[in-house]
Amino acid sequence: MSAQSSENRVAQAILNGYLAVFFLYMFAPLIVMSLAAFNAYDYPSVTQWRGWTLKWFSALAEDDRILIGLQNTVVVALGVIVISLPLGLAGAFILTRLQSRWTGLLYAALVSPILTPGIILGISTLIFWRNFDVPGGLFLTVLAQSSFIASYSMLLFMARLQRQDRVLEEAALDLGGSNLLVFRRITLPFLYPTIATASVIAFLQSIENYNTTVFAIGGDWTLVTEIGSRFRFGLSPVINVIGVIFVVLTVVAATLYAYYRERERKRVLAIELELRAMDRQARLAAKRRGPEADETAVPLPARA
Amino acid sequence: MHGKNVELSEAVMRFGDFTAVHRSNLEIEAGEFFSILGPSGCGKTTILRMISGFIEPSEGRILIGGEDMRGRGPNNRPTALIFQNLALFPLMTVWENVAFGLEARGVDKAARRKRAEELLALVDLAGQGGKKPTELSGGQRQRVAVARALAVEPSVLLLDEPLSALDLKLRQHMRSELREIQRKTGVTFVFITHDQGEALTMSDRVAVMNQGRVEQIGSADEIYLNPRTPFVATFVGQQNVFRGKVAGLDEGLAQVETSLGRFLGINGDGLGVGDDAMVFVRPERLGLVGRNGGAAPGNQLEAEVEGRELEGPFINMFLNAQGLPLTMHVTNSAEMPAQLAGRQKVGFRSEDALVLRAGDLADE
Ligand SMILES: Nc1ncnc2c1ncn2[C@@H]1O[C@H](COP(=O)(O)OP(=O)(O)OP(=O)(O)O)[C@@H](O)[C@H]1O
Ligand SMILES: [Mg+2]
Repeated sequence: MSAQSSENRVAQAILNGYLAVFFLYMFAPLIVMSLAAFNAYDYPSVTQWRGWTLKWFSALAEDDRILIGLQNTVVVALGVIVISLPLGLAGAFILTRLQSRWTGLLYAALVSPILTPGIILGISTLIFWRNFDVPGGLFLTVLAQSSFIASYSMLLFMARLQRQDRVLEEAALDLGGSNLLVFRRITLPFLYPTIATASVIAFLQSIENYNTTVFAIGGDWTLVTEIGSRFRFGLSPVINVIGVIFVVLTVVAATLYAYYRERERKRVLAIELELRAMDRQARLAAKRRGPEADETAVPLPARA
Repeated sequence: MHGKNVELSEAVMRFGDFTAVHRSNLEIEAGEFFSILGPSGCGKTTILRMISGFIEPSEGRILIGGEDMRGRGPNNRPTALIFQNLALFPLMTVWENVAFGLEARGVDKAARRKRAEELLALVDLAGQGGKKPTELSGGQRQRVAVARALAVEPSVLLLDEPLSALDLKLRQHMRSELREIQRKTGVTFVFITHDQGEALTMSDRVAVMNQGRVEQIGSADEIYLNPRTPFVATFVGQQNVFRGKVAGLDEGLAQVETSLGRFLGINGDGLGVGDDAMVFVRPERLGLVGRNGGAAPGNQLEAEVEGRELEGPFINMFLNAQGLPLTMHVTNSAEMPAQLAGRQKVGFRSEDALVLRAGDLADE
């Protein structure tokens, strides 16, 4: 017995140790990076500590290239959402609703951009559009990024559509709905959560993208390519400030999400309890009605 | 609104090599509560989907109100289908569900809302329009589905086992509700079920199906008292079955030679001497010889009592006649219950026995 509990203690210790190392590995770089944003030293560092400061925050507010880069990043990400989601949805519809012997091939073709190295997507977009005299820039960046982000959207929409109860669409048709109405009132609302998820994922993939963007961006820049190009001259703690801001945004978003989920869960639970009570009442009412229910009377004790 | 409403004429439905519905004819009167009864997989849903227009028959025609429906999709037919799983729209409120058919017809929102409330009142759900379907109980959801279907003013309402998801008590309750709604609206109901109690108690007429074939159409009484095939005889209600060969004929009666003796019964199939036959006797028509007074029945046999089940007003007796299991219902009268055991002489009158050509039985 004591052997078992000491074994348990060892297991517990190992697990705790593992967790500690895991969190250290995850968060140590973030902590170091964040601290450096408040260090009065000219280079991102925590070892050379020169005292607390907020001057890098004001420096960021005055750094036009970074601010324009941020604006470009957001513009590109929105453009990517606008192009990727309809493309992805169209692909998902074709692959889930129509069956032919080409379906497998089409699926492979539509998913392949995810597996293609980003550099190749960037370069080939640039080369292709050069034929039409379209130079690198934000527009080409949107197209280049969409070429693979649309595939991610498609996979998300496919997963959702495969879980759809097609009977609902049949029911709507049976009630006289046109195909358009059925899409607008039944299918689209069913897809709303996925549209939200796909938008967030497309947005995140777009703003963090470097490989593809760096070739398609031409003379323009996004936040990421700007940071990339500054590496050549050595970084300033302004970059750390950007990092801190993103960390804070992420934590706030995650907390809000968790809070709303919990509230929703409680609401659903309350409804279920209420329903159970209602069904019980209906059964009692049916019983009170009497004779008509007799048919179901439980047979009395069985065979001798 | 009278005359034939729905007509299947020589309709056949094949899926690849598999024939789900063999050549069938069906005539359903306007305003009728018509049930299609049959075991799982016999083609009930397939017939309903042909009528509602989700599938076109491979051969034959479907007429509604005398009009050929070929080429008309489900949104262009005067039918409304209540699906096996109801298929309420989970993301719409109850009243939006009910009003969907009106929305499809371009009715404006205020009018839709008003009509939806009227229909909800009809199905006893007044004031529940603002809820989501998931916030309703099983029986309430059921009624929303009915209201939603009625909103498009169909001339035919098709119901695919709509009660199967409910528990026993609620099902009982919904039976009478549905019947009531049908009476109030006068809409033709085509009701599918594999529950014979449901079919017999609710319907004006019942069609009994087996393996893609309609075996018999008739009122509950006709189906129960005069089944025309061994399948119908055994699928609806309980039966005792004796197999044998026709040994003699006598004015509408047939004498069948079985391993338990010769039995005389009504010759339901016009059999001739030598034909393979089955004799069907309901448990309530089997009785103890010499017990009820009166003349002894013509058909008699001996059987061992093996067990009993008290049903309340009557007792289920389980007998064994040389290996053949029999069931007999005896009235639960004062002297009956305890004493019955051992070897007994039982019998039945020839007018209570039905002789049919041997065929497939419904398996228990
Ligand atoms: N689209 C289809 N393709 C191939 N076979 C089908 C199709 N639809 C139905 N079937 C077959 O046709 C037969 C009848 O099916 P149907 O759904 O009409 O049965 P049912 O009587 O409604 O049964 P249940 O009581 O279980 O609902 C089944 O054997 C089924 O497998
Ligand atoms: Mg079915």
